[in-house]
Amino acid sequence: MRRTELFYIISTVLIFVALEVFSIILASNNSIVQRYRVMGGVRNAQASMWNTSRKVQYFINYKVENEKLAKENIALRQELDRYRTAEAAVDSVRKSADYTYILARVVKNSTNRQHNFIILNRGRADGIETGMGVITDNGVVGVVNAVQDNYSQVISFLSADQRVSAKIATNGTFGPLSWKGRSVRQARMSEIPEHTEVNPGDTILTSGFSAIYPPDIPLGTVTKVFDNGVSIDINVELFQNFGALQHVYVVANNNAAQIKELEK
Amino acid sequence: MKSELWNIILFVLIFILQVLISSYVDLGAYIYICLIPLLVINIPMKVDIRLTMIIGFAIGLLLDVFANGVLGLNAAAATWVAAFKGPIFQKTVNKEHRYNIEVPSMRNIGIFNYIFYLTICTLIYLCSYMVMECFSLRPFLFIVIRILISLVVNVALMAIVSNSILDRD
Repeated sequence: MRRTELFYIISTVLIFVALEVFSIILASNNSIVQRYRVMGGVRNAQASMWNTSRKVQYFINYKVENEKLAKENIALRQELDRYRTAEAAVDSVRKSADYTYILARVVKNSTNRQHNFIILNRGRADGIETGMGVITDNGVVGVVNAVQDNYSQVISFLSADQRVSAKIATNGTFGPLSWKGRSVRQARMSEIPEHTEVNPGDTILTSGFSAIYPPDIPLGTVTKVFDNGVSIDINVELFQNFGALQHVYVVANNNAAQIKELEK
Repeated sequence: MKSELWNIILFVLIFILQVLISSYVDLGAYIYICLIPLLVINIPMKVDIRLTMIIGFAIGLLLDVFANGVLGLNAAAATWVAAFKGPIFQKTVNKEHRYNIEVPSMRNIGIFNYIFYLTICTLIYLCSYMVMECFSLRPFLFIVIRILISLVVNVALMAIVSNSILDRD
């Protein structure tokens, strides 16, 4: 009887520990790639369903979307004109050739957790690879972390462990920008040297100090400045409205392989 | 048999509701809606604790997969509830009820006892989930406030679901 009880207790504890350890391993690997391999069929069916539901939403909202695209076209034309006339045009064109942009539509987007994910309707067949950055005209969106033939999954910037290298437009001082975890429009830039002059209203841009995002993408504006005694932290209101994401650009850095080689 | 089938259908419906809530409902950073503890505590007490843990783990893992979250978070949390629901139940009710009740409800153990039992199980679930989700990445106070607000909202929601759907003849 005692032996049976002991076996019961030990087996219960072992099963509990095994299940917990397995969960922790899954969570710590973030296991998206793993899930894509194991759950490929389920994920394909889900992505297809989300895609259909997005198409319906898209059809319903096509007027709004058309207006948005028209505005975006005007902005792009104006930008093109600036490039044509500016003295730095040659240099700018050379720089933009470092990146290739792939247009994708968002078929699923979450903003209600501490780790959020986005599903795009473009995948391996369209040239998307893991590690590529995802942006819009209003800022960064995230990083591709799993790819299937026709769909890819992006870790949203609205995730507890995501950092973007950012800089203050007025003086070029850089530091990591991360989501604060509360409002979808609030982020914090930290590790700014104390002597740096920064004021509410200043614009924050991507620094370009990584192979993921191109430089000078507008991210947001400074709303509040904190001095913690060692460095300065800045509250940033993001331009990007994650709740209304429709179209995004996946950024392929044409020199990513060379940069990674140098970083080794 | 008919009743068991009906319970399984209700379980599936509540699970689908949870997937839809996790996927589409955004109540802000401080509220995480979870109905999974309700499903786990509704596994009959006569089921072996080892099997209960495996069922709890499976329910959590399925939610992680279908709600497009980080794999393992809900699975780990549901396993904790499955492992401790028995001892918590033993402490909650008197000796008379301890071995007679298969599935605790407001009707058979009383409102106060049921809310207490539900609160402790949900607290265990939320602590496990939120600690794994953002322990070193968010301020401690933020996590505590998030757990407390989510606890109040979830216990109220689960009490309503339990009383109006699961606990009916």
